[in-house]
Amino acid sequence: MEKPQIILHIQKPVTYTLFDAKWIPSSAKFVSLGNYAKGSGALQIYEVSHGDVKCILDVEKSKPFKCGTFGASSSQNRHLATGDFDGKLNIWNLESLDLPLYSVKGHTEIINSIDSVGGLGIGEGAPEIVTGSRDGTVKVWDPRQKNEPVATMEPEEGETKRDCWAVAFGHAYNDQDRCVAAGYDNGDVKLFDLRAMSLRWETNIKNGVCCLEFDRKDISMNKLVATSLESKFHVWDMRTQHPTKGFASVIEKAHKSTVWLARHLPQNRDIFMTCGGNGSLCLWKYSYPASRVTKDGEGQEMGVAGAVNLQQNVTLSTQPISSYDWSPDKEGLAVCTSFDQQLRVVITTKLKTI
Amino acid sequence: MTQDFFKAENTKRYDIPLTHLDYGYVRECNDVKELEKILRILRSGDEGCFPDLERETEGRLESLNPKSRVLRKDNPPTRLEDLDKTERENLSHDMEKWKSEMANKEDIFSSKVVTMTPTAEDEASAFDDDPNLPPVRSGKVISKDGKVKDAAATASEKGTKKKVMPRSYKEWDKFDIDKELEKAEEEQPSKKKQDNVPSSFKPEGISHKIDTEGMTVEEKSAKAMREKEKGNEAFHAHDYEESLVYYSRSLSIAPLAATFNNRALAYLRLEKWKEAINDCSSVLKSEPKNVKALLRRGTALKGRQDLVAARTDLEAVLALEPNNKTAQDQLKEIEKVEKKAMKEKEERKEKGRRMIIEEVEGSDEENNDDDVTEEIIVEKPEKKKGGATLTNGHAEEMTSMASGQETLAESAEETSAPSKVKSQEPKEQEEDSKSKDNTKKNKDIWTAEETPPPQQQQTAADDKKPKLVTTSILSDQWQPVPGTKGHSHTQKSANKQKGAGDSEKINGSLSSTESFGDSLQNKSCVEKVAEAVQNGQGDAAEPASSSEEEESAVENEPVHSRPVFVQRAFLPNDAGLREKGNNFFRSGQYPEAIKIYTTLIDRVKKAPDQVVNLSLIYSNRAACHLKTGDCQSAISDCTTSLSLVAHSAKPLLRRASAYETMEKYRQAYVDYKHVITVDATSALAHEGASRCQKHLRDIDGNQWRDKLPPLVRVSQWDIPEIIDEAASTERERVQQKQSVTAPSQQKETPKTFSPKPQNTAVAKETPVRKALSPEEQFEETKAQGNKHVQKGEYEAAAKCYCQCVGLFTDRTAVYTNRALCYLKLSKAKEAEADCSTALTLEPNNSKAFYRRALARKEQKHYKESLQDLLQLLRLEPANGAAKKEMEMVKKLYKQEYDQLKGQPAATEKQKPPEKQRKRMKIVEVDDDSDSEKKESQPHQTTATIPQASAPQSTQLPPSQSQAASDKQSTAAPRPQQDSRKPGRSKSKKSGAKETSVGLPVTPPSAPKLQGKITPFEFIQHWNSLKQAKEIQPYVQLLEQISPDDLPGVISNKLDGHMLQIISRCAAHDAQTGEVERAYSILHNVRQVPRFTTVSMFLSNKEKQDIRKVLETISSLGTHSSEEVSSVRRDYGVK
Repeated sequence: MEKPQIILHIQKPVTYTLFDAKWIPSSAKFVSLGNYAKGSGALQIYEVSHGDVKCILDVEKSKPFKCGTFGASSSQNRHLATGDFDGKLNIWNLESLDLPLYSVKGHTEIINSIDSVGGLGIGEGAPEIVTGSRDGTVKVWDPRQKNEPVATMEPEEGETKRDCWAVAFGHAYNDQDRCVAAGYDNGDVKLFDLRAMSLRWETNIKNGVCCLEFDRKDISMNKLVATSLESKFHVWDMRTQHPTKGFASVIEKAHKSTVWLARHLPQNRDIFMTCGGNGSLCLWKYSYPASRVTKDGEGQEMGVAGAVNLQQNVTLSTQPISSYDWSPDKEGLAVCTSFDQQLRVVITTKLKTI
Repeated sequence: MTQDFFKAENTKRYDIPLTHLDYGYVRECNDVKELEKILRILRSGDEGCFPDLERETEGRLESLNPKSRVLRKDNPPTRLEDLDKTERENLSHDMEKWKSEMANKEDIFSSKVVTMTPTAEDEASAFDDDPNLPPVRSGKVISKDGKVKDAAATASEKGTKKKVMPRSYKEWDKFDIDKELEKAEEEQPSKKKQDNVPSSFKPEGISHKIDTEGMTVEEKSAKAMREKEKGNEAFHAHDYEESLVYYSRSLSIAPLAATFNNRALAYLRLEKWKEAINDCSSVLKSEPKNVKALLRRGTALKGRQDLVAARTDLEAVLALEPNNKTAQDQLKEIEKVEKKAMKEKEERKEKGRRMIIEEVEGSDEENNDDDVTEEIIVEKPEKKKGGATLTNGHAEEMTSMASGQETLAESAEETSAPSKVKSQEPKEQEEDSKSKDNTKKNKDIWTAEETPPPQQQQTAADDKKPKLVTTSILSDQWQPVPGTKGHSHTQKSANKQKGAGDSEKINGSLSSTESFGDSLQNKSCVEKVAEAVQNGQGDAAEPASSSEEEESAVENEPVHSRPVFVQRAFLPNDAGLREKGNNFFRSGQYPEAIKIYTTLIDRVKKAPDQVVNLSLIYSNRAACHLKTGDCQSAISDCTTSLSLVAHSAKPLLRRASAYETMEKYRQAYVDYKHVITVDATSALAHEGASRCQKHLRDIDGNQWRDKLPPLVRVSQWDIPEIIDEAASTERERVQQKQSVTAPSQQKETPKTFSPKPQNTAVAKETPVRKALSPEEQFEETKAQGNKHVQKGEYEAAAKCYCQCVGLFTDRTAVYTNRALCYLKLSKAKEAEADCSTALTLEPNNSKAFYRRALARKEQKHYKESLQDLLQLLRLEPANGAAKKEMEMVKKLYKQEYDQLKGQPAATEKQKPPEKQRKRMKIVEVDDDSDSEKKESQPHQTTATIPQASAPQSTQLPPSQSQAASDKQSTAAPRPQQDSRKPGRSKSKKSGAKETSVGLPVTPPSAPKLQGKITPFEFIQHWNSLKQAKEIQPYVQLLEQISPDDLPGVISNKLDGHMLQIISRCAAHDAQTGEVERAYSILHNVRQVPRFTTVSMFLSNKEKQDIRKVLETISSLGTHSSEEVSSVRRDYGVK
């Protein structure tokens, strides 16, 4: 069996620092978000055509954008939710970007991470956006509710506020259950159950959590990947929670630098790409153990972690990869940004045969 | 510096000897770690640059551990230009195609969102336009350590009220969390109703269906795809149930063939064959050549044992894809299974046995099933559980494979029987299918040279006249009609037969159920149904009714089937006549009997489906003729009887005896031989044959065989099967009892040619009798005696037997039975006398020997006892009980001898005589003397007797009583006999020990052991106590074994349960004061193999017990503390 190949399809330099790029659902276009040197925000829309990308829209906003997501919008509207350096959450209609549809100053500091669920047919239940900020809070927003978060996860008064680097939705397999995972700069990973409004599980992976992602948001929690500084990432099997030991996990070393990102292939939850601080991409495949559940000495069920196997790796840049987004419509197609101010469209082949 | 470099023996990094950086070393090195280090050194260039060596090392490392992280190299990204031309073109083409697709989608969307302008109203309405969405979450705060601090104001409550961030924490305190939660919960269910969400939620709450309302086509297909992907992923993670949910969701949007196929596969994994078949079938409906669907359906069918259909599908797969490996493998497996089935079938045939077919239930569910459109259900009066009537399921089967009921149903559909039948009848079910034993032992087998004319069967099936049914009795039993006359017996049969062209693969199954109804109404209703069934079959290829079906089965598999006769009930008048005839016969008025029988024959002849009964009556008349000395008529009657039902033992025997009387020894010999081939156990036949042989040798010399007419060879399948539809409750009950208590009777064959009543128990139960012949009286009293024995009333039994002796002084069985009673009553002398009488009558009566030995033992005449036993063993060398007894007697004899010598008694293990007597609960109830010779077991355990003595057929499941009534063979395992079987096998080992299995009345008690016990015996005894809830029997058992012997006796049989019980026994011993014994048990059990492993199974309770024992023992101080503590350690008791 031939290995999958990661093909650099298109490379495009830009004039700003790229932080995020997201495919616009049901289209051959993507949005790139960033920061102009002068301190303003950049939002561009590119279209893939004939082996090149063409910028079809370019707007500049007052505050730099850090991150964006389409996941809380319907597939017709395709509204983009962005988090900016100022702690503001905005929702934009890409057809007219003059004013945001929804705007809230959700955080006092930069929104590091954003995730959403409930839109695009992904995840049952209400559309919700979660933001994680340097101010140490994680807030869940419902676009239908102005100004107020629908849920807030924050440190107790007097507690040192940790920088929240990563948030992710998951477990949205019916209209009631939903979980938010949050990762902090001190290595804390916390799993909040939005249905029970409680902290379901927490752990510490010793190094700052750069990225968290569930393999799928709209199924009963299956796997959670956390990437960290010091070139490690963790994969937890989220199906079986042991009362004391929590979830079983497998740890893998990669990239010889910070693992900035982990992104699951939308078409196959067991394949994911990690992006490194050295500009490299690694394609992984998770294989399940023969039995995912075992019993401990006291008859309590505990999970069994599987194994991750490296399928392919390439180095795209000398700078960290700041974002990576698989196309939801085309298997293997992805856009990634890096701090060398280059947009890249990458194609990964033979994903089906893994 | 350079000097350092050359002098350094090790590398700077990792401290690896420089010499290892060498081709030779690297090639041989198997240490992955070291190779990784070497590679790192080489790559670092610290020791110089050796690209070739580096490659060599990489190669070696890759061969050892291809996944080594060191081997991961930073690859430059592949560029389009790096790809070869076709690949590049494909990729570009793919991208372009995708792009245009997306452009199309965009157009659709843009046309739809044209109205969307960022106005103020839009801003408000942009997000809450979907009424199906759950409500906005009420704002809550989870503090980082997991505490829910408060519930925030919800938008619905606060409306437009402005909030300034951050909120003060005091504000949160004003809210009641519980209230908020409740509210949220209340909201959601009510919401659900509005949403019209399907109610079938999985436990995890995933709906199987997706509400696609308001979705665009694109959205729908995207959603369907996504759900399918989820299903695939779950499938790959082996979460098949989950994958089913997602496939179903996907199918609820878009019923795609691929999804159906995938779901079928998931069903296959879950072994839900039916669902898998359904899914594949729906694929095949649209794509008849879908290989995957065919393959999967084939596999599913195979899983359901529907081998024929499976084969068809798999062959279809191979036709499409000749190299399909899976299909080939599956086919091979099917062949294997078929071969095995054939083999088993053959074996069964050889043994003359049949498999039990699984119960065929009625099938409301099945009717609902899409696939199963046709089914033949026959109504049956629901009297089964009614106390007043007795119902007996009675079915006989032609199937060897236990094929699924659904399979049958489905194949019934495939073979397209008209559904008319179903529509006509209410669906009452409960058809008991049972295997029918047709061994040679079967009493009712009819023998004849030629097979029965098929027309008669046809007519039998076609008969639609309602029949009044009375009890019909087997030809030679001559029993009067019992008191159940009023009951009408209805018969119905329900059949499902699966037939297929290939006769070898036929798993034909049919079942008929016999029932007794109270009312005629019931009966006529059933009749109608039967009619309907027959009508329905009239034009259908696959018939489904009793005898017709039999016929077709016979046609389909001529080799494996046997003719079947249905014994129908007599018409009421005929039954009365018959009874009269029987009575005349019994009272010795043979000419009268012959008259009656002749009229009866004339009448029965007119009724078309009375083949069996006709044959019976002929046979009976033949017996009368024999009695009157009219051998010629007897022979002709027998021949007629045999022509009706072939290979029937009774008429054959009667004819043989008639021939013998007429000195036609050759014919007589042939007939006797014929009987023997049918029923090898027939003593009469054997005797007769040897008599004839002797005569013939006298007449013809050594070449006498040459002058014989050709002998009849009968194969098992030639012997017809008699289905007695009109079996009477009485008969069943009686036979049941008999078969339980006296298995010897099952092999019973007539002893003399005179049709004397044999089934005495039956005779006894018929109070309506005027004159009793001495013979009858004898039989009745004897039966009564037997009954008393069963109940344990030995005194009364002895009296009965005494009466019998008064009537006939030459019946050995009575003597032996009376001897048994005397033994029970400790009248050893009388018992001995009886046995001696029996032995003078029948010098080789093993029972008599055995019982005399026991009697003599009681009287301490050990020497004589030994002589008897020796004699017995000479007769039956394999008689285990006798051997056992002999050992015991020997020991006693020795003891006595020792005592005489004035020496102390031998071992403590020997039991005093009265204990032995208690142990010897030997009962052998003989109904008839003629079976004694065949009965190799001179004694039986008593365990089953109390149960057997009470006629219980009313409470028995129909199949059981049927079994009892229908086959008189030991082969059919019955629950009641089960209890006896182990008992019997054990009795060989240990004399008679109580087998308490299946007897709730008597609690299990420990068997008494004799001498040194072997591991096998121990485990037998131990297991026999399994029923015991108390520890007492185990304690008793262990008491009889010296603790020192325990390791040897337990050998490797120690298991957790046993150890638990032993430790509890030890605790019990300790409590009762035998601390020393308890300790030695614990001490010795440690020596048992596997103890260390097994001891881990000890629960805390047992450990507590052990601890107590050990504490007591250490407080006594009889054992050194080290010893005790080592025991402690071994038991894990601290």
